[in-house]
Amino acid sequence: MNVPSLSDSPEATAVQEIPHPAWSPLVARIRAGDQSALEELYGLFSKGIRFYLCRQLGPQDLDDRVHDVFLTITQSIQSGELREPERLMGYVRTVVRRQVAARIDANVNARRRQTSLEDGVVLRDRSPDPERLAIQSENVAVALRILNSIAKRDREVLIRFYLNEQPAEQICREMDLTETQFRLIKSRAKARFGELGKARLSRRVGFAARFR
Amino acid sequence: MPSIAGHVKSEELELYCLGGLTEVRCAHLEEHLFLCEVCRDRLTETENYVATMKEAGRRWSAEKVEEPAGAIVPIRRWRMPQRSRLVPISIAAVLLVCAAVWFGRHSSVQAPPFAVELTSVRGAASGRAPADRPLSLKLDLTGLSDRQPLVGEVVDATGSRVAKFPVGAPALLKPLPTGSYFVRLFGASGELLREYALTVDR
Repeated sequence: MNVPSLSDSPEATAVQEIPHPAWSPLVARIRAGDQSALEELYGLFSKGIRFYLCRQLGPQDLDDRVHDVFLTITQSIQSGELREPERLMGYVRTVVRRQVAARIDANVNARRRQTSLEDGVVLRDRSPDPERLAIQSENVAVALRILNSIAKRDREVLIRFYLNEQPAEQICREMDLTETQFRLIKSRAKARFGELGKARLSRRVGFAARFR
Repeated sequence: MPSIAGHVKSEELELYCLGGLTEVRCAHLEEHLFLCEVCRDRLTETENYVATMKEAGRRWSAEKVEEPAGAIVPIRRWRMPQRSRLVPISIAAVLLVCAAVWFGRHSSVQAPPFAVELTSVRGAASGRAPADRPLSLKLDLTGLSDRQPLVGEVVDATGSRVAKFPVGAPALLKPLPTGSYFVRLFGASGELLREYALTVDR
């Protein structure tokens, strides 16, 4: 069961700027044809690239896409196209984004070709599976409980931010809130959401244990 | 082996999910996500949380809008109407119904635009909108702030263009007939950047 566990850990909130690792030595080894450097590069990036591609394009042909991205990156490094080794991360991001754009383009063309051959329109059902739907509806019930139980002002902040997608500055200005008050309202609701989610799960675990 | 230090702030993750980060910050965050499994897990949790709060907010707003309408109905004692009063009331009611029907058919005033939120992330359901209402498109432009100016077009299921609009200003479209559509975003040099699914039904 997918339980919301959204605590704002001090570690997560304290770091403002994320320092980048030094890439020059790794890039130099790849340029020199060091096989272990390629393995290291793959080990570092494969999960992240997989995650990004899956979010943007779905799980279909994921292995092939990750492989294509790595081929492009390693060939570029070896041919000297990557002129600033310290910008390796940015380069990887650019390659992955290009791959996503190319895939969307290919999908559009394929769909155009398919529709001309068939009478009807075939559209994939993109709705979540029944288990996922059940989890979502339980989570929404928890969130509704929170919205019903909090003060009117706090509720307005949450609805403005999450539903109406108003910027924090606008909400603070129009509702006469400080940045700290705004953050506190959001983090309190998030913590409550996590607590209620955990309580729900523990009730279930207890129920299941009794009948085991 | 290169190593990373620190993690992304929770606020940044929320803004990323809501498409509110600048291109520079978006790039920083995505580059960090390539390496950091902790933040990838936190992003998935945050995405679920944001989607849940959005849905809960939508339901809460819908329920609370209906409540006052029921509350302002005045409670009056029931009185048997006299026959002489019933005749003019009936005529007035019939005239009102006729006027409403005529006005509905001949008026050029359209229903207010229906706001449709479109996202290009796979796995999400396509945007749905009712037919016979103008549409106000709200596109998820995450990661495209460096590709301005953008041009959008709406094509039907056969790929024929039915509308074209500049992206940036609020996109207001005329009502679309029932069917499946795709909203496409093109960059300044004409390259296709995004495609969103849109279903128009009754």
